[in-house]
Amino acid sequence: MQLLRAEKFSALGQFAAGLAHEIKNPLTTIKMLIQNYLEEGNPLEKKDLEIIEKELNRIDKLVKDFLRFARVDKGVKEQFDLKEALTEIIDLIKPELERAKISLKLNFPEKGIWIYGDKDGLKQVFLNLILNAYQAIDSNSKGVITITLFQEKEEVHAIIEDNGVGIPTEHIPKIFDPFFTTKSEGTGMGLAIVKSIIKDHMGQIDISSQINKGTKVKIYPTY
Amino acid sequence: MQDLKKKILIVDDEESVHYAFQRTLGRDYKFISAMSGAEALTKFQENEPHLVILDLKLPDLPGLEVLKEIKQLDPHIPVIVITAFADTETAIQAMKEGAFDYICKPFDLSFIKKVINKDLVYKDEEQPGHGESFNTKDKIVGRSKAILEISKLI
Repeated sequence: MQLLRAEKFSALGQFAAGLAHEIKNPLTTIKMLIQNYLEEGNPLEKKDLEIIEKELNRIDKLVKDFLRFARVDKGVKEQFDLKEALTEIIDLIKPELERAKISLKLNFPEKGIWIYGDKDGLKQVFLNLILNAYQAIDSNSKGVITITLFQEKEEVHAIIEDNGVGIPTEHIPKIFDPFFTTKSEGTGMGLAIVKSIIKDHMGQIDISSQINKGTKVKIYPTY
Repeated sequence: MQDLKKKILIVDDEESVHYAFQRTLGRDYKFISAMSGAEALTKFQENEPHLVILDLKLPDLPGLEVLKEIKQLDPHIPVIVITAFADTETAIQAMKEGAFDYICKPFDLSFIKKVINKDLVYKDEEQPGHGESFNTKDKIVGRSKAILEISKLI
């Protein structure tokens, strides 16, 4: 037990170090621009302020993502319909997919799938995975995202597939690491949050991907 | 008219950091931007800068590897290493590889200005002849408190 606690604290220490690292970069820009005004007397231009605001928003997002990842506010577990929760997320993101001309194919069972778990947490999982699928699709290609949900005996399967750019093989072992990102605007916390929530449900995640063919993510949230 | 500004190659994958350098010190220096290690090595050879500011975290290559390659291309080039993840071991390694200074993000504008000036003056005044060799301690010319502490450890 003591060893587990020590490991947990050590992991938390590593995450905190990672967070500090990610925050210090935007702070550098903010500090330089503000000191350029305060110490050098060079007036702040509109673009300076826009960049400062962007960097502050980035810090805000990093901290929020980190708290989600650290699961400080663990959601309450309850009985809920996973199909309904997934539909709520799809309704939220659908207009954006339509704007981007990405087709959405849904393979859902007729009846709901009732599970015991953290509804908000699992909605966050679906949101992050669908957003990843969306961002993996090149704007010039005919993008398709397929979401499949079914139950086999006592096991629930949710599959999110895209026909996007795919993930290079060498990145696969790192994609769940906090702060790992290949996106210029990303915080690298999306999949780390997914892993943390699925782990809380004693569930599993499988990822398979092929360059320029797409990515398939299967999750097995607990039943 | 010929641009007489000293050239500084900035190697950092953060676009906003390039903007901040350009905006705050662009009047005094000509900045050349590189967003990756590979781009840094190409631009270093193309532009022959007077100084390099190098972040250790790059998307393609380890920053220390880039430092090593730059120093192979020009052993006398002043390189200021900047990092958001300060640890003594890396600092020592950077100094061993020939970094002039090791600065933690976020730094004060007045401080980075002083360090850039000092390193450029050093390059102008103390440029040794070709074929001269250094030992590690000789290569450490940074005078910041952190550097002096690190130099004691090597």
